[in-house]
Amino acid sequence: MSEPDDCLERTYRSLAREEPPASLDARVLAAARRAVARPSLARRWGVPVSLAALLVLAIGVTLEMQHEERGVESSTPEEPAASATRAAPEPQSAPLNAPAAHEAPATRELAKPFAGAPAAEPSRSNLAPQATRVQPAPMAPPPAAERRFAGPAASMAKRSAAGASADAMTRSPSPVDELEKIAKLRESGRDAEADRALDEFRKRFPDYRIDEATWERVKPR
Amino acid sequence: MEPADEELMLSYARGEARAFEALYTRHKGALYRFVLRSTKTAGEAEELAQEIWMRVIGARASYEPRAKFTTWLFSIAHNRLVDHWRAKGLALVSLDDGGEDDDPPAEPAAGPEAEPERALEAAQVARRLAEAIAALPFAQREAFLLHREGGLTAAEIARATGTNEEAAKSRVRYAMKKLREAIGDE
Repeated sequence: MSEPDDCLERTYRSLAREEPPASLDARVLAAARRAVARPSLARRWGVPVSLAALLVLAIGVTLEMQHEERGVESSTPEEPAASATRAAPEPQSAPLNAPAAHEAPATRELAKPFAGAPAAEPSRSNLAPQATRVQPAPMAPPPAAERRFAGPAASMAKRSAAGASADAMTRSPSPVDELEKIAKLRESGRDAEADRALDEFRKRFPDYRIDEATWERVKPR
Repeated sequence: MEPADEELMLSYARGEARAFEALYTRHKGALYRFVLRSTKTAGEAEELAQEIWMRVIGARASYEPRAKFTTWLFSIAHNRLVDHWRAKGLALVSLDDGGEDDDPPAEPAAGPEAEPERALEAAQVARRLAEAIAALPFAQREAFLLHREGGLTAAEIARATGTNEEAAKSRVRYAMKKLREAIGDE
């Protein structure tokens, strides 16, 4: 774009080569080190250890309940009421030797995530059959790529949808969504919150360019 | 061979503080001068430069080397400056004024300023240049400084400032034309 040795270039190079003060260097470098400082041993291992303990506990409770249930099952043939129930034909009954059929509904609920058992199974003893009904799975959030490249219009439409707030909780909001939230805070006069949100926005999306029209809606008052 | 800026930033994102130190040392001067010559006061420049670097630190986890590191760095600087001017209620648009004529051909390089009068004259020319830079419209000054201090090409300036390449070229060209006029290098 310019000749390397022209007069303008030489004169520009003769201008003072200001450098940031040492105090600024120290502040920036200290912040950079703090940001990546390794957490203490307790903080590093706290979460994994807690999760492992929780997993062990859940498995233990599940196994214990299965064990207790087998004990109950072995005594049922002597009970006349239970025998009568079994005598009635029931085409949808699971085979008696199927492990899941021996579990109480509560046990099955606990065991599901670990055993990968099917969600629905017929109840042999007709006890609360609705408890075993298949519950519809919650709607999965849209794929990340779809969310990222959705245009502003799509985002606006999504926001106006009835389930928008629940959806927003399960996904990371886009810059457009974030700015819209800030604009709404401004509109409702919650300027302190909007200021904080704008500050946070700039930290999260430092190279995102806010267009003039949006800026007018989100700018500090 | 020294690692590229992008590698350093990725290393920093993985937790290597030394990588950031190398990156900071490499670019702190250019960024500081870019901000200083855009804001004019050292106090403001210091504050803004710190905020820009803090944003770099804060965005380390989401950093992806989709462009040169300096393009990314100066786009953050551009956004911060725009916010700064907007907060002060200053207009940003008075761009690309002037004709469409090409830059005049460059003068041949002058010899070394051996005599005291020549040194004095050079200092005066440098002062006129500094004043002319300060008097440029925001977008032209920014484009010129991104080119001179950031070493960005027209395409990179366009990317950093959210404009197109032709507009970026044009801003640099008009800025240089005015600066040459100011120092009598026409």
